[in-house]
Amino acid sequence: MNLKSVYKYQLDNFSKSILIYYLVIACVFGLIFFGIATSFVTIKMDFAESTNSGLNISGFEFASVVFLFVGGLNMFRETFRLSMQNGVSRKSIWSGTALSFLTVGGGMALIDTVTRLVGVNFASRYNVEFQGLYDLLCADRSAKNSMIQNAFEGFLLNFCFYMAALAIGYFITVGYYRMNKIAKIIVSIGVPGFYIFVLPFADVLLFKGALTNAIVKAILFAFGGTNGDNPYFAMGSGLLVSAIFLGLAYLMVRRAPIKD
Amino acid sequence: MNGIEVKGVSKNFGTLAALKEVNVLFEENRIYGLLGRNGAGKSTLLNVITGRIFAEQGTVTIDGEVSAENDRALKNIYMMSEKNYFPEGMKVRDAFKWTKEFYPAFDRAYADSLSAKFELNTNKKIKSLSTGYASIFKLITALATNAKYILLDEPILGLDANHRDLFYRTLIEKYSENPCTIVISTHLIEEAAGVLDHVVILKNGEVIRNESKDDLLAGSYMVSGVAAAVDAYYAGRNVLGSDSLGGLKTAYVEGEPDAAGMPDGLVASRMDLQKLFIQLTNA
Amino acid sequence: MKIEFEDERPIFVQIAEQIEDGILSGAFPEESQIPSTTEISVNYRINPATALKGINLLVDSGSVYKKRGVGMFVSEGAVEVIREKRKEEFFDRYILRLAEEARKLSLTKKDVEDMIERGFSK
Repeated sequence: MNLKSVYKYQLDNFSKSILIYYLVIACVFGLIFFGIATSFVTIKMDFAESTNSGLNISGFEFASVVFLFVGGLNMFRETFRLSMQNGVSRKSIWSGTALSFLTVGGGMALIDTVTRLVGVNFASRYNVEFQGLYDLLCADRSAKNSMIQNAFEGFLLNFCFYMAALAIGYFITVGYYRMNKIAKIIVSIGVPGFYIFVLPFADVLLFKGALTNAIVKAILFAFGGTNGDNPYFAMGSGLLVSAIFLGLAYLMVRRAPIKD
Repeated sequence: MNGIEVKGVSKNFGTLAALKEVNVLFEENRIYGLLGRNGAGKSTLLNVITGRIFAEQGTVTIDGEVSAENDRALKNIYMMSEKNYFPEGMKVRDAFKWTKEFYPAFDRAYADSLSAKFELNTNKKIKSLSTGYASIFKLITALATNAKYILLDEPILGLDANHRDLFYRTLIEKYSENPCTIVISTHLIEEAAGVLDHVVILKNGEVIRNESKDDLLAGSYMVSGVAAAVDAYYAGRNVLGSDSLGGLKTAYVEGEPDAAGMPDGLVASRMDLQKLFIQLTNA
Repeated sequence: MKIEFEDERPIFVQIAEQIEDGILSGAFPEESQIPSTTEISVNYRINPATALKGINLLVDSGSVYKKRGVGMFVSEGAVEVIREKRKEEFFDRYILRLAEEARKLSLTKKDVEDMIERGFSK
């Protein structure tokens, strides 16, 4: 019962920013499509190979991924404090939040899938290339598939990535809540520093670039790059990442004390 | 066993032992005063009871169920503390709405009528409330939840005299019409003394007194008179402290005055709760 | 109506006496309703259990009775009951104390009797 209340609150928490986000997206796309339809606008954007009129809009779902990552970063502290005030167990806080992620991730995945299908359909009439995440990841498959399968797999792909973004954001914010001041400083400087400085240097000096190679290979594998046109690898990776980070977040929420 | 039962609870903050094996039972339908000097451990105890912080040792049960991570048990408790845990940008009326979400028994009409009585503008954002009105908002919320156990940590912080008076009237009215357990932690002891049933005194993390207010007050008295006579009187008795004014002395003694009466020149009288508290908790 | 928290006698006793005073003075006529425990406790800022204790004293002495579902009412003949009770208490409360205080001030019995004369002629 508390779980349901936390769920409701998280959705309420998210709703305003989601509304604004989609309002902006709607305006941007509305403008672009209006411009295309009236031939008013011709912009050259190069995200991938452009084969048509020179206009290529792609990967707009990345915006949602970033948005949800930032959203995840805001889903703990306020909710935790309110929950503590209202006699909610930490288990319920985590569960209610995780459930809200499913709803938000699923909802946005759905909306974005619809947007992608509409966009692809619309764009093809004007010789403009419109590609969603799904199309970018497995272009051939996307071209071959039926609309239904396209939609379905696209939706799942979006969902998995969105969940991962939420989970990582949530994990980070809970982690920061649990850390004391010193730890925060170490992590804030150390983690980026490690990836930006230590890793590359160590790689060049010690492994002659083999490490970076291995990392790139692993990422490609996770995204299905080396396995041909299979989006299910990426989906699996997304889900795995979500599960891991949500799980880690749970371990940290479990023993989170109220701080002042 | 109904009630909030605290068993062997210890809590440390670094090297500081805030609570040392505290045992106390808060029974149903009583008004408790949880008294103690600053740093005695009152807020810590209340925070452990509500699961906001974790104790190193010991357990807390609510109506027989362990309270830790227990949604059902925690539903019976509501605590208002000095700190505000509501989102700062939230308005009072929305706070009421969300409290009802978490505590279905929350009486919105009652909350609104109390807000009118206390002149609390429910449209205001919580962060914009003055100290006094923040307290008022929190105590209205707490009383309106109709929880079985309501814990009030410094409920009268910042309240002017008129609102304090209104608070006591409201408290008594609510308690009289809908009995529940109310635990009040406060520094304004004498003012609150009248409404208390039972008193728990914490000193340096330990419970030093845990009895009904009447018993506690009956268990000690003051002796006043000429200093020499007073000194002679309290030899051999449990003296809590004394005050001198010139040649006159007042001693605070534990126990009961002799039924036979006081020696000539000495007057025995009752101590009020605040005086007794001060004597019990001075160094 | 006021109660002294410093007064030696327990609060609930003082509550009972205040109500008795009201009955004697006619503020609470016989067969009329007296304030409820809630009203009393709110008015004096005391715990309702204390107010109840006070009312129970009156029930025990027969001055007040309970009408189920309605409240507490002044018994018929309560005025007499209270008067008799107070007369008995008068000796302990006033006379003994008077004698003790007189002794403290070294007043003789004659001194006190003169004062009593003066008091009654006022």
